[in-house]
Amino acid sequence: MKRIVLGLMVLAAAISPLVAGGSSEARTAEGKEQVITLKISHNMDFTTIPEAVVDAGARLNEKYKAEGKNIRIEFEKDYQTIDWTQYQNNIVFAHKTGDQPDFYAISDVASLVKNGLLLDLTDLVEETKDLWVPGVFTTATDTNGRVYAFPPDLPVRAIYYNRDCLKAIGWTDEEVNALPGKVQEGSFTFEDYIALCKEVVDKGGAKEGLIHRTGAGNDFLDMIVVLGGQYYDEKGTLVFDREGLKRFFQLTYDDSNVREITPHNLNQQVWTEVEKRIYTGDAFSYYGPVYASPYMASAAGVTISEFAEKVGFIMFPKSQYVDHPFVYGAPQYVGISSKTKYPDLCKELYRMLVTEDTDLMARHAATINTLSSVKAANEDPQMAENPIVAATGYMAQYALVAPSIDGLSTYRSELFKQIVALELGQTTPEKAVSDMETQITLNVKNVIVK
Amino acid sequence: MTDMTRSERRKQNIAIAVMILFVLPLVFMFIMFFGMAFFDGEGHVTLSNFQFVVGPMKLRDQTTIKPIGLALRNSLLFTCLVTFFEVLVSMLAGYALSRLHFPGRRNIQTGLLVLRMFPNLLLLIAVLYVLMVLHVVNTLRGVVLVALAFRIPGSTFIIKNFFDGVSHDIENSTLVDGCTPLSGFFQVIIHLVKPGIVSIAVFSFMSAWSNFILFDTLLFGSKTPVMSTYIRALTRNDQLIPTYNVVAAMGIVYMLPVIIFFLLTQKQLMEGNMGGGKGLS
Amino acid sequence: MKRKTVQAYTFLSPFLVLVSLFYLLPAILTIIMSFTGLDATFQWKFVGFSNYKKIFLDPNNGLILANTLVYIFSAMVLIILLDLFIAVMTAYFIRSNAWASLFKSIIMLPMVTPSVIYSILWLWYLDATENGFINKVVHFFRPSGSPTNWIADYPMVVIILVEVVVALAYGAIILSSAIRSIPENQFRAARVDGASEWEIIRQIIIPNISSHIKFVVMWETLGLMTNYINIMLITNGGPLNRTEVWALSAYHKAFVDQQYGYGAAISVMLILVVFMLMLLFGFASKRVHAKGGKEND
Repeated sequence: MKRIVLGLMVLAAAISPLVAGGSSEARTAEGKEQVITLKISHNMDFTTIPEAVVDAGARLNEKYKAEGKNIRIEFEKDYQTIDWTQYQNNIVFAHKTGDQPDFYAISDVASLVKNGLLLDLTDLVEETKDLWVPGVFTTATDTNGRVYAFPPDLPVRAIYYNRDCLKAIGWTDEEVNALPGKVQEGSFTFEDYIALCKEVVDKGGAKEGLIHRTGAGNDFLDMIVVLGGQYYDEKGTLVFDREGLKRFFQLTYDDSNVREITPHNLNQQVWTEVEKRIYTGDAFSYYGPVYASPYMASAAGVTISEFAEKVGFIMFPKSQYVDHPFVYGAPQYVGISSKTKYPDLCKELYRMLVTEDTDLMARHAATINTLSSVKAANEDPQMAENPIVAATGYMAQYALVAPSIDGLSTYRSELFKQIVALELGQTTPEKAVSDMETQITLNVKNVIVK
Repeated sequence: MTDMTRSERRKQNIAIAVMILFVLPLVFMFIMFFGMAFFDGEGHVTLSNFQFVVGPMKLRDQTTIKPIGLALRNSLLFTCLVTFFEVLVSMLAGYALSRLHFPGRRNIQTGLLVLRMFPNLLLLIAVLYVLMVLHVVNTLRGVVLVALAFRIPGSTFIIKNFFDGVSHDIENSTLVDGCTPLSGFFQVIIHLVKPGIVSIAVFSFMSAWSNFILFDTLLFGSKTPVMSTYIRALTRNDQLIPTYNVVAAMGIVYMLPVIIFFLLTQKQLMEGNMGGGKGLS
Repeated sequence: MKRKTVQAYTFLSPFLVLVSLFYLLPAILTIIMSFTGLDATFQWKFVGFSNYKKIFLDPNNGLILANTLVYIFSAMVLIILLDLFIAVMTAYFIRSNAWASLFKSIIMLPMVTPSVIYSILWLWYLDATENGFINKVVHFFRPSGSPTNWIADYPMVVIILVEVVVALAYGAIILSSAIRSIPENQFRAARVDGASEWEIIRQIIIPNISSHIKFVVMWETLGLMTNYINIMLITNGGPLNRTEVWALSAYHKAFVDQQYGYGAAISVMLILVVFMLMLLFGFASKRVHAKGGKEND
């Protein structure tokens, strides 16, 4: 008998970690005070977004105190820097296990809405309609017109150019500074721009004419659009546009292999090495989100105002295919979990950011050098001194916002695989289009091929 | 072995020379890489790359690396738990399979052979689901269970072979001396299979310490960082956040316990009792 | 029930519980999942054989299969040849234990290096710019040339090299301890007969350790087939699927594209192949197992 008892004890010891699973985090109320713990999660460096919510919570605590309510809000923060796909997977899994954060960052609104993981914010948006910059909800709205995400900012994606490179090939200061205006009025076209990149390289103004991000991302979609390509329709359905993509792939291929303005090995390089080249003038231009500028500045070891002195911004110019200049705006949406225990409180915190606490919104926008999604925040003194906002603010009126597109992440990652191979010269534009079409039609359920 | 002929000695010297040439590139590669940890960008000797050990480390204006302490603690906890339970569970199972006769023994033995080779990484999708159902997903506990389960077929197999090697006479004589089978198990047999226990403990430790894929797929969020995910988060393919020098410094911190453990247990590792590991990570 | 049976199952129960929960159950679940359209929403919707159909419809899978075969075969051949070389060197020619274990320790270094560090070491070594170690060395000798894009230009060669270096130690140590256990008088007799070293290797060493070689071949084949971590960390299958192998594609489909059902179907196919290989190797391995117990005393 003894040995059986002992055996059982050993067994119990061995599987105890399994059994001990039940106890979740205890939310104890100290004294009479009611403590509400909200979990807030974020991905990547722009933690001024969740911090705005956290600080709004602190102000709400003050208010409660003043009103004599015995409630205190506390936050449990989880800020990460992981791959966005993985971050969003994690959000889904966390919901499945009931361990979800109340607030979280979003990379793909559509799939989370389909999953039913986002709280409907439509009433909040309706109520505060006039306070927002128009268009900021486009990507956060589903086909029924319900809004599911909160836009904390309105960053645009534009083209960066280094002024010194142009001076090196004989441009005068006036000419250099007039470039954004010429793009705006339409007298400097996309074709001129590609030719200029080549001219800068040929005349020794820079080693590289045009560089881009070295991972899958939305930046490339703007290039497709400027070449007359389409990747979504007005209902938010993914579109596979053979002709448009062919032109984009041809451009990508030629930039590396014919014009030689983009290095073959760009995508194999360490990003921190690449991004400083815009300031140093080793590379003449770059296309991507304007909020990347502080990173580029710090990679090059300069302040943001030093950066702004040397680097200018233009919109995507009008082209043979598109009759007006444009930029895409892409708010970095955040949202509230549909399974939160405190939906009203969470919404109240967002409401505060839009109504009385717009300084917190301005703080975020100014930190990342973009316009805010809230009108009042754009008037905030914190915004006035920002050199990047000063240079790019006008673009907001040209900004397009894409709807939420189902299957876009697959499209982006397949697109980037082809870009890498094209720049290395390992595939041809024709083959790239047909290979990508096969993958997209196989892996995306709802896609229009044209 | 001491009485080598002259020609044998000459051949040994040639062989040593050939082997030196063979391993030299490898040694060089490791030394050059980890050596970078002690230099800054300009090539001056510095310890500043190790700042993440003592506190938050500011890389550039935009990015601050969290101190490594928590990750180190979690990794250590994970490794100790896995090693301890792996030895315990596989010892019990190995003893039963080797020494006790019971219905179903043959089937379990055959199953063990298959499981030992089973491509467990391919089951991760479903394992994740099981963890969800058990409500241990996204906890270190859950990963401990999975890591344990993935490794015990291999280590049970090894330890079973050790038990097979202990002669029945010894066990019988302890019985004659008045021990029950259970105290016999603890007093005598364990002593005899000690080399086997050490051997699986060594592999368990090393594999648990360097594990990456289980954490990567089964732990979400940075609440429970471990060494491998801590480093990986800073060195994604498209974005190497710190410089190579800092990564090398992190590598040194990560590998120090492994190297110490390696030096202590080198003999066990060398003796070919390696059935448990499918590569270490 | 007999007391012995109760005792045996008591001892075995933690093992059986863990194995059922994390091997058997997931194996069954994987098969079920492969017939569903399980995606990011994690809803079980049965779709029949459409995931399996998709495997055959996707032209990339042909490339992936070819990659897998090239990868396993080349790595395998290199690993076995180098393992034999190292084992013969350290166990037969080098009689000094100190030297032999020094070399074996060095060869084990990559194996004990955690994969997140090991991969960065290679990424730095083969970095496409002049920051990379190899490119620095090349630049030193040939200052005019532009840096070579090693990983993107020779991705398959790189991952084979990476995997061979890390896998070397396991087989080398098994084989060298097998050589050490060959009775010394066999060598003496051969030398008396005037056999050359090459003949000794071919006629005494290899036949004596052939079952160990078979075991190493099997073990490494299964390892190469299913362990994708280093490839994932170094090329992640790229550029453009040139290093995408079967197991990695299951991971990508499931955890990156979130097509869990499709990923499960790819896994099931691979598991079937692994089983067939196991049966094929079964006989060879059993003999080593029988021996394995004794030499561990």
